[in-house]
Amino acid sequence: MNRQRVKAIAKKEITHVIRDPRSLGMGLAIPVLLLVLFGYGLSLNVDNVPLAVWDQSNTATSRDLIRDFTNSEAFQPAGVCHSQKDTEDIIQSGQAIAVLVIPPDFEEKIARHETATVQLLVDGSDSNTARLSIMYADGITKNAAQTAAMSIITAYNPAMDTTWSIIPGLIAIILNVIAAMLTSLCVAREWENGTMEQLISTPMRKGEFLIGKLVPYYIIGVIDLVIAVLMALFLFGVPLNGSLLALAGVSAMFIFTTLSVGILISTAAKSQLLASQLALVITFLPGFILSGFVYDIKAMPAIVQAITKLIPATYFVSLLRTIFLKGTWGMAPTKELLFLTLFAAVVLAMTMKKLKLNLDGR
Amino acid sequence: MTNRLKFMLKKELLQTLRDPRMRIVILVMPIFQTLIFGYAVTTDVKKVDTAIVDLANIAGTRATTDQFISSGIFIPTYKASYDEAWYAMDQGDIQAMILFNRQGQMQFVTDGSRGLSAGVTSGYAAAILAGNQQPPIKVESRAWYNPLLESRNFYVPGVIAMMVMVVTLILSSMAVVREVEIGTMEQIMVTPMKRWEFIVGKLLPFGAIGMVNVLVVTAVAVFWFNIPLQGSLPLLMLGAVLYLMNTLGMGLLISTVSRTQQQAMLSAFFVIFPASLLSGFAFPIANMPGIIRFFTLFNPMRYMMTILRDIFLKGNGLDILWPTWPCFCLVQLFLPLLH
Repeated sequence: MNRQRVKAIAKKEITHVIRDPRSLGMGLAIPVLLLVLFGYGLSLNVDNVPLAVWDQSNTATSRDLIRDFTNSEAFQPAGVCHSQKDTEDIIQSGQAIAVLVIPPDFEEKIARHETATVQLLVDGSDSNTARLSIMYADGITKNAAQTAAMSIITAYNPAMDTTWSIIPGLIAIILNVIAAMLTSLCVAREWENGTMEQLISTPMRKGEFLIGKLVPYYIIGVIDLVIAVLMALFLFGVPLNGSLLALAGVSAMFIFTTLSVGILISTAAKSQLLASQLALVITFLPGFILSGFVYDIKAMPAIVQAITKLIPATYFVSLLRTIFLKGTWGMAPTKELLFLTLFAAVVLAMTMKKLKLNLDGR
Repeated sequence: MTNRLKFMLKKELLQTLRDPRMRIVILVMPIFQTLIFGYAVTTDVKKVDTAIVDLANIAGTRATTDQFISSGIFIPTYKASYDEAWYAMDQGDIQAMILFNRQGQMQFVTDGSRGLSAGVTSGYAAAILAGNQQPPIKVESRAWYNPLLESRNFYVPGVIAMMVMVVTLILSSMAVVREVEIGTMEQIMVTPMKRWEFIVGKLLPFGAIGMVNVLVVTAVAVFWFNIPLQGSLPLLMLGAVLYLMNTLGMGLLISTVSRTQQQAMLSAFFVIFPASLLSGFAFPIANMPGIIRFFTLFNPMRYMMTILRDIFLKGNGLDILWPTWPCFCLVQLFLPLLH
């Protein structure tokens, strides 16, 4: 390995990057914009569910109950129904997600201290909102009477602010895609534009070529990460309970891993169209859906769980959440770091095997 | 159809599908991914590993513990002390704890770093405990369209919209800029080809690929995952055509304003990522702040999401869905203006 040659390649690549300010700007601005947009925009909390009411009782008691519903944070009024047909229409059109049906004998039953039954019709197509609406309704009718007997605590996130768990996950999946995309074109472009032949004619070796290619993008990835972490801490107020050193170490490894994935894609594809298609298909949707960012991995079937274990983003999402919110750095993360290192090593070995610095490599 | 257009179409189809790896990526991968994602997209909380620490160990606390266990949701492991239980949660081995102090008072703790499932878990706990009392008012709930509240029925149709956008937006955003970068654009410029022939010739093959994707992935959803398709298939296809016109139009726009394929790719990602997260696929639009909700109005995937879900689950027809179509077209109108 010749330091001089690595430096030359890195310098050439840095010049490439700097001469395309738009790509560089996008590489740096996209994570910032996405974090701002999503940090404020995304919430998994379900509140203000539009609720329509069919009050067949129409008495003071029933109106009290309706007020209990609409005054709660969970529901907001979305209309009044007067018939079965009304309830069907209002849910089908999506104007209301739930309809509270109060039977005619509601007040009499309450007066006689019997259990009065009300009906809650919900739009089940969004199963999550539906389930939570039912729980909310249950809670409202039962009042807060029994909460004294039990306290429910949400550990690591006492206010149950979903932004806290979304932001670390978001950093992970944004970096995951950005890093892979940055490198995914850098080898393919040389082949496509014919400049690879010029490089082949130099005494440069494969390892030198790869490292030189990785350096500038690694710098961009690290800058992205630093900006993202600063935003999480100061803009969104996510607490950093773990050590900064742990965060830096894990992230440094993760960026390296995903950049390597990009390089492998680029080396294997040799066409920019195929490389970009592959980079997005391999990193974006799996990172979004399989990494545990939104969907709980434990709820997936065993075979799909096994697949999630093969995705670097899975480890990074859980590591970032652990470091930010739990603040622990016990035995478990070592295992995950080990995986990331192993993954990068395998990917780079495959890249070395695929990369042919001769004209037959075309 | 003019002869020139025919040649253009043939060239584009050949160019896109000639590489066998490309065929796999754009035609086989979507099926494969739908199969995996279909199993992954579930927000049902089925099994929660729960540590139980019972310092009182009296009849009352044991009865409560039994209630939790018999729900089938909470899988118990017994720990001797609070510290042990907290350690297990720190390590991520458990997602909830039931703690009784010496007086038999109960605390229920969920792992809040896990986002969505934490809220559902505490909801279950509250429901189990509330079941003990005889309330004055009982809620009887019925869920329409999806009586068992299967989250898969809600999410799998949405996967179609995401998948199709990823494939077609990348294809079309690279379309023009690739010719420019490689230099073949100049060859095309010397032919008598007209502008519209060039654009149609570029986009039609991608549209066809997108439609194949929609059909195949819909088939996977219906026949493999048994997602009920209540509404009309032709209407769904019509929606897909409009959606594809949007994604391809955006791609073409990106392609014409980009100078290198790298720029085009980053721009495409810059569209796909917000479009997916702000489509209502995973994060409910109703909960977004006003200004972000306003942004979603310009997101074709948002409309496609509604169309897919309403047609699949509710069986809605044009009578209810009609407001989404003009929106589609409005978004579409913006694009040529930007050109």
